[in-house]
Amino acid sequence: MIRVAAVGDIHMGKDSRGLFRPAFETLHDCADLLLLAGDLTRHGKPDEAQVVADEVTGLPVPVVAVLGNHDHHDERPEEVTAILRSAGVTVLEGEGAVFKVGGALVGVAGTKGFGGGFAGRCGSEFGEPEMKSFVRRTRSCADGLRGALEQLAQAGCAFRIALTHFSPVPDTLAGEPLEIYPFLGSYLLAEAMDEAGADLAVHGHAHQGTEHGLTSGGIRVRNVAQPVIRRAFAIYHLHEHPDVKGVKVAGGVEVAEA
Amino acid sequence: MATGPDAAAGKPGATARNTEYRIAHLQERLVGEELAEMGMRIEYRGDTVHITGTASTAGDREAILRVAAEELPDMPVRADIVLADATAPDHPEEIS
Repeated sequence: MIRVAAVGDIHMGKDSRGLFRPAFETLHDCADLLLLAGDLTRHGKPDEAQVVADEVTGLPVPVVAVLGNHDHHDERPEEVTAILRSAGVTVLEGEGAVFKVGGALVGVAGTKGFGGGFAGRCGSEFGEPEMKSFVRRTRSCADGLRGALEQLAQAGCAFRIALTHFSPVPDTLAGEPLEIYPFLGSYLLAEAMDEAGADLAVHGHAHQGTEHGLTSGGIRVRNVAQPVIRRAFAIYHLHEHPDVKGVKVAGGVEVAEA
Repeated sequence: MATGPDAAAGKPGATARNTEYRIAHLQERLVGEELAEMGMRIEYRGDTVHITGTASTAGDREAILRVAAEELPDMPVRADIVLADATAPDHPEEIS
């Protein structure tokens, strides 16, 4: 069993410095890693990123993040990423990272993701260049996520987690106006997860949504936007599925010994 | 028929549309200004504008109310804006 703490949409600025630190300092008792599901800042400004970095620096568990749309607003995502990395945060975009928890390898694949909508009610790569670019961007994020999850499987991870900012499913958007679903997520992300496999999907972005959902392939999805979970973070205890435990753990051991 | 006193029937509709646009402009201001606030639901119900959502800090909530008062000075505004809770959770969810 591994213990995953996760939160998104903390939207930190200079006036919220220190807000989460007391709760984060309890992580050593309750979690093996902390996932940050994007929108960590308000405008994506370096000084806001520094507030986030200070909030998580020196924590006793690995911190893994993806950026969100707010973190892109100032058009300096590279600077935001560099500041977070300088505080020891693993920032993912179309890539994965592996952590050893107890005897198990835990893989996190991350991408910000993007919008477009859900199967049967979504945008297409057609028409104006802006529309094609929009959908291509989402497809590129989904392809990066799929590739990262596949690499984590090859690395023998006993647990694989997909971390995004935008939602892979409409389930966790319940409570949001239907009209804005295409701006909140894309089925392309869920399709990538279902094809490559994952044990849990974590996202943010939908403040008025709900916590629990499923992909059509049966992967559990959790919306950890802070206004949704109403805590500094949520904690998920992931237990190995009895049918796959032997195969995955054996694979993990082989990689670890190699 | 749009004649006589009933001709005024067009006015409430026009007012409602006007309110719709003003609410849209309020939402644009909340997003565009320092707040970068995209998580508020703003609806016009029963001649009152209702603002619902979760704010990060008390200062944010005050700022949202201030901007709403500036954009809609002649309209009653009711706000159900709760503050985000930054305390640690008291229990995990078991996922097997």
